[in-house]
Amino acid sequence: MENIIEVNDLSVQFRIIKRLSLKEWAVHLLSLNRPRYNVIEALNGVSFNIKKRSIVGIVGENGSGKSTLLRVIARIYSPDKGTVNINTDSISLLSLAAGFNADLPVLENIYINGLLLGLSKKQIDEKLEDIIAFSEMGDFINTPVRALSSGMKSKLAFSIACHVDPELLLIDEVFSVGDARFRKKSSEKIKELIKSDRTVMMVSHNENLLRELCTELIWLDKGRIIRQGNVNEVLNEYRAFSNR
Amino acid sequence: MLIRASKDFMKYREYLIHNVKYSLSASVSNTILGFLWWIIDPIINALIYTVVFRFVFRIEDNDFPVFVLCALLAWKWMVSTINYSANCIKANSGIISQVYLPKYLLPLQECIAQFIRFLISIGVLIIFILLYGVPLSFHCFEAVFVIVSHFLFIFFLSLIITHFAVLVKDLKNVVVHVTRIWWYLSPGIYSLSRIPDEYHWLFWLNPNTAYFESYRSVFIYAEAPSYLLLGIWALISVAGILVGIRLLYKYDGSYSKML
Repeated sequence: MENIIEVNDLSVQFRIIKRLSLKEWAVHLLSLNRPRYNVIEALNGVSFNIKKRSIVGIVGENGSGKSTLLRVIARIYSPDKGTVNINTDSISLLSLAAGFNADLPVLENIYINGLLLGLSKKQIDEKLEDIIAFSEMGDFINTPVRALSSGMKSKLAFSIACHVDPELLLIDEVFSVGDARFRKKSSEKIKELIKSDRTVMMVSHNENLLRELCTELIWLDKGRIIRQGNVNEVLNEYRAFSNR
Repeated sequence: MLIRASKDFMKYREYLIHNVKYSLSASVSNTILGFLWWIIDPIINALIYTVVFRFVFRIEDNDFPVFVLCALLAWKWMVSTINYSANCIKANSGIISQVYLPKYLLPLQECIAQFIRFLISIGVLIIFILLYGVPLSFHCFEAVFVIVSHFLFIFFLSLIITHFAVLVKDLKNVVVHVTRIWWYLSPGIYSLSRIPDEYHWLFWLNPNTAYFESYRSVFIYAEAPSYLLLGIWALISVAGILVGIRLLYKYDGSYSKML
C-alpha cells in the first residue's frame, strides 16, 4: 500500500521572543553577533512513514512534541529541517484549541472553517443542519464564539471537523470533549469515522482507546521518536518508562 | 511561486468571496442606519473639511468639498486596508493556528472589501459633483485605469505591512501615525498650486499625489489622468506584489509559531 505521509528527518524549532517591539528591533539591528532568540527544539530528526488507511496513535509525555507533529502534518507549521510529504489535500486537524475567530458568530465560523477545510459553500449548506444539530448549537448560531463556554466551543470544533469528511484526520486529545453525554456521542462518531476507510493520526493518553482503535503506535519523547510499531509492545514500554 | 499563488487563489476563491461578502455585511448589519454609513461617512468628512477651510481659513473655492472628496475617498480605501493589514495575522490567529490558509489572502480580502466600499462611495462623489454643477465629461470613464493602478499599489503596501507587522509588535501603532502624517503631506485638502514650484518634484515622488490628482483630473478637471505616473506606480506595485507574495509564502508556516 502506498504511503500517505512521509516524514524525513523533520525538525521544528520555536524561537522564543521572536516578535520584537520596535525598540528591541532597533537595538537588535545595532548590535552585532547577538543571538536574536532562544531556540526550543520541539521536534528533532523525526522520520516515519504512514500507510493509507492506518490508524496511528501517538503517545508521549507533555511537551514531547505530539501536537507540534500534528500541526506540521496539517501544514500549519513549516519544518525547519527535513521534509514532510503528504499525498492528500484533504486534511483536518481536530483539537481542543479550536480555530475560531472569536468575534464572529457561530454560523460564520462554521462557514469559514468549512471553506478552509476544503468544503464548497454548497456542501456546507447541505451539512449545516447536521453540524448544528450534532454540536447542539441550535439557539446560539448568531452568538459570537467569544461568548460560548469552553465546552461548547470544543463541541462546535468537533462537529465541524468530523463533518468535513477528510481523507486524513488528525485528532489531538479531543476524547474528553463536553459532558458525559456528548463524550459518548463523540467517541461513537470518532469510531465511525475511523472505521470508514480513513487514515487517522491520534494523540491520546487513553490507553484503552489506543489499544481498541490503533494499528500502530509512535512514542515521542523530547522531540524524538523513541519507538514505533505494535500497539501493545510500545504501550508496555511507554508505561514502564513513565513509571520509572 | 506565481503558479502556487494562482492555484491557491482558485482553491480558496469561495472562502475569499464569502469573507469579502461577510466583512461588508458585518460592518453594517449591526447598526441602525446600516449601509447608509458608507454614504454618511464620506459626506461628514467632506463637510468638516469644508467648514474648516471655507469659514475658518476663508478659502474662496466653491468646488472645495468635491475637490477634497476626490482625494479623501481614495485615501480612506487605502488607509483602512493598510491599517487592517497591520493586524490581520494577529486578528486571525485563532484560525491560522488551526487550519492552513495562504496568508496573502488575508490582506487581499480586505483590499477587495474596501475596494467595493470605495466603488459605492464613488456614487456619492458623482452625486456631489452634479450637485455642485461641475460638468462631468467622458474622461470620468478613465477612472478605471486610475483605480486599477491604485488597487495594485494598495495591495502591494498591505502585503508588505502584513509581513512586517508579525515580526515587529508595534508596527500597528507606527502605521496609524505614519499614514496620518502621509495624508497631510499629500495634496488631499490643498491643491498642489499652493506649493512653491521648486518643491513640486518632491510631491510628485509621493504616489498619493499621482492618484489624488488623477482622480481629480478625470472627475473634476475633465482631462486625461497622468498615465505615465499611473503606469510607473503600477509597475512598481506589481514588482512589490510579487516580492510580497513570495515573502508571505516563505514565512507561511512560521507566523503561527510566532503568535
